[in-house]
Amino acid sequence: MRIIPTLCLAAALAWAGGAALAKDTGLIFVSLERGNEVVVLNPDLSVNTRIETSRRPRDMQFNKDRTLLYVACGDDDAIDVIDVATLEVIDSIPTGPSPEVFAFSPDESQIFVSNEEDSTMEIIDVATKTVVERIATGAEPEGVINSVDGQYIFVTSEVADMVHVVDRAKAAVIKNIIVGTRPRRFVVTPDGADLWVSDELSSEVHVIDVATLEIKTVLSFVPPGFRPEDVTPVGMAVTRDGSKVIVTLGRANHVAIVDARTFDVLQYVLVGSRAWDVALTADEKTAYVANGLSDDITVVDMVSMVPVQSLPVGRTPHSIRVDD
Amino acid sequence: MRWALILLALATPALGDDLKIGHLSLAEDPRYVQDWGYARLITPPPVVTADAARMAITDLQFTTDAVGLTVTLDAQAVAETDVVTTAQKMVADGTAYLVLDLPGAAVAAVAVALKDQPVLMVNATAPEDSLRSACHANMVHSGPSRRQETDAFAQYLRAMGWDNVLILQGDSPEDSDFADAFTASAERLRLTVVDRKPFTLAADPGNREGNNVRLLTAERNYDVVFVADTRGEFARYVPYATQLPRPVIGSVGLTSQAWHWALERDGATQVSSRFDKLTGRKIQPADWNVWIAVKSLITAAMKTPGADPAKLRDYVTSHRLKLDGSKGVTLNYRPWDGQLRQPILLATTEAVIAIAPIQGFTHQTTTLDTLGADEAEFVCN
Repeated sequence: MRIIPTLCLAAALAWAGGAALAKDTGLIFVSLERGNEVVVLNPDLSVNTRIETSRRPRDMQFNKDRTLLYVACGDDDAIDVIDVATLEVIDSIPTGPSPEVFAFSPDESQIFVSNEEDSTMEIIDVATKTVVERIATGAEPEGVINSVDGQYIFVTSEVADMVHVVDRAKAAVIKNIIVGTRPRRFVVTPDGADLWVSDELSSEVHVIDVATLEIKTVLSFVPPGFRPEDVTPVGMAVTRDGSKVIVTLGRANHVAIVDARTFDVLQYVLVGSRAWDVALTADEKTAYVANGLSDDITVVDMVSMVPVQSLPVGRTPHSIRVDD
Repeated sequence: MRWALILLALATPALGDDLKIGHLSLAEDPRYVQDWGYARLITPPPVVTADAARMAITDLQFTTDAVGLTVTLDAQAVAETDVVTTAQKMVADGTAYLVLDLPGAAVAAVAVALKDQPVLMVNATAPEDSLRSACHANMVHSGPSRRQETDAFAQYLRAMGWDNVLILQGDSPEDSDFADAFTASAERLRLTVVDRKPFTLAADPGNREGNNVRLLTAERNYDVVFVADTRGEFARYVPYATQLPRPVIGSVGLTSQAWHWALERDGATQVSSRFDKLTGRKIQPADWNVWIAVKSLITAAMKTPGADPAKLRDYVTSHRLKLDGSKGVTLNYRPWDGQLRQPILLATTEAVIAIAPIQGFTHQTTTLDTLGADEAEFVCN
């Protein structure tokens, strides 16, 4: 582990390099939960490098200009910071026990992180690397996301089967929305209107209307030849125009491509074992799916909606992000 | 910390219901208090499964608070002779949901004594299939039945191609039940039981065929040895001592469990870690059985307000119950025998080797029904 300068330095480096310097490298980053590394693939899918991180890297988020990639590392209670230009870990932010999923505030001054082992969501000030708030959640909090306007932070509790709605200004839970069994992850549509929540064990996705904080609709998924109990939705990705959402179906070894306006499933695509996360390229012609049990990723052509390639990446791929 | 904020969760409409859950166990359960110091056994710390009941209540508190459900626990640990009267008193005092962490005979006695009472009982830790086939109308079973455990073994042996099994069996009724269940599982999957031999712990030189592991395992052909020894005193001497170099399963070696501390998929690590933190000891399968029993009662009570034990039983034995036991699939209870459908772990002391249902064993309704007595073959006694 190399944790060299402070975050201020990291930020300075990023700034010195020019904040607008997202290079659209097309690099693909995959966190390997049991490999303790982030593997970086070139756009042609050859391995660029493997970045050693703190233990058990899971969720990853870019800063807005994509100069830094933050990685939540569950077994070292830290969020590592990777410099996207040098592909090295340049800093680490301490968190509570077992961070899994996190999100930035819209101005990137704060990180909201779920600590699955002590049932809290922490708000961490990025500049000082200190915890400014700890908000109690139901057991095993996981998914964390902002509303587009930054007013709310949403957190799932896998055990309580609910979405906590946290008012950011009050730093308080203002509502609990009961959803399906074992809610995991979120996406928000780009217009900020709809919050999608994957329910791993009830094989559903709940769509919540952000304006009213009420459930708008419930989607269920059954790829041909599967039973509902085989379907365990987890990770999702939404297109920039908000027209489609890709939902990974876990043990059903498929992803569903869903029309986000009609809520119809357009296609089920066969991928690897326990598909867990998905990311789109900027042109949205390609989706990469991380498969947690077959230790590989599947490349899906979004135009024809068919899988085109699978390749091994290392032990237990968790999250996948593309720099472009 | 802003724990006070939890109170805001009460903004949702309150039902104002109370759910009183009883937990009845033995003050000294021979299954847990293994006072075998003379035998140099490493004994685990005493299992007090009321801890697991408390954890389930805490785990779900955010949700129960949100719907205005108040859950309380009345945990009683008594002498075996007082089990029935204590159970009757708990029900008379208003406990409508009673989790039993008792040996099979005590569960049977309580079931008979409370058969006409307004109570739903969950047998958490007695594996006897006879308790399932007794078809007590107000009882369900959260811990695996013997048959679920042995079907898991049979699937694994079939998948591994270990078709020929030598059974060694102790002299207790529990050992004989375990061997019977395994024999039925073996028949279902067309495994061959090459022989079923009783063993004895007595070192009588005149009975070497019954107490010497090499002589007991002197068959010409077997792929695996299944040892039914629920006390475990004999079983621990069998691995590495067989005449042929063969794996040993059953009460030792590869065992069949509802839960294992080493399980690390599907949120299992978090359940085990919470338990470690709460109790300072490693979680045992019996703890998971009680945890899931209480969790199923609370989950059902939230979905069926104005709880009535009979309604709750209907609910938990239907597909409307989608229970998360951190074993990767939703769980519910079978309507015909009240048994919790669940994956079964095949594990050594150190690791989970396989999880049944093993891939490839299919079923017309749910693959979980490949484990345990299936509807078509089940009869109430």
